Amino acid sequence: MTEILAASKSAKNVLTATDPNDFIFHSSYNTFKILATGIVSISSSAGTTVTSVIAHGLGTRNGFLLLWNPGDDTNRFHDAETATYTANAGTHHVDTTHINIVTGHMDSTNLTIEYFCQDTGDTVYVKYYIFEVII
Amino acid sequence: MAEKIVIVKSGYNALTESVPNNMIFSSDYNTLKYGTSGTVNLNYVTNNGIRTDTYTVTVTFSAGFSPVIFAYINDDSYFGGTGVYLPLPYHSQSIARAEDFQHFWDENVLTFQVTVSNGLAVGSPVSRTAHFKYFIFKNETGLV
Repeated sequence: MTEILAASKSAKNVLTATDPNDFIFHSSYNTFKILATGIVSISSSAGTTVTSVIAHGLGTRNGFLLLWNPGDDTNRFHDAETATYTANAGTHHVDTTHINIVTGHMDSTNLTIEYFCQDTGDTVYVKYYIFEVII
Repeated sequence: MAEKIVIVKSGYNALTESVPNNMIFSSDYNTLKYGTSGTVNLNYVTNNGIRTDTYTVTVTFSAGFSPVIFAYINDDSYFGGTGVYLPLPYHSQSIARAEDFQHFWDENVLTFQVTVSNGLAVGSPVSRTAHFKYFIFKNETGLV
């Protein structure tokens, strides 16, 4: 029998549980490892796409996640709101005068984050996670 | 040399392996730590005349920090039933209207939003329901 290392959830028997959802950790199932993470700030240039390039040095194209904060311009989502927000990349804000979009793409060398805004000088903060999974 | 815990995949040597993809677990690499999950519904109306409407529903999670969140939508008005989920944000466009489904959050509240832009006055108002599924992780983004 192959040895395993496992930690079950509270009230679950680690010796008899078979549902992966009943474990905190199980060596039979790969974990979603985070290889790199960071925050970049990008300032807009009216009507053009501004990029921030992260040289990840992995030599592979990996899964990634982008979350962004609209910074001080709370009109990204709500007028007159005072709280700042986080959102997935691809979320966009459109009104009669503004459009703001954050997207990204990855190759074997770089993770490129793109920010489009119709204003100049608006800064967004983008948190990136690069995962172990190769795509 | 710093001690660490490494569990490798079958066929690999835990003492010499350096490629993360060949490891089940390594204490050198953080992981997404699962926190909580749930579902929430959002009722909205389309075909409501030439206009733009925004509908929201919120989930209070009170983490005290801005966490990593994954969210998906299952809209039964398009697929005629449950079981089909799409990652957010999701944009749907037709000749008559556009529907933007988004989610955003701060340190305490997760908001799901649909913006319906009706470009044509077509038929009568239609009531629809968007079903959302979310996963809130323990990992702090540091963005808020």
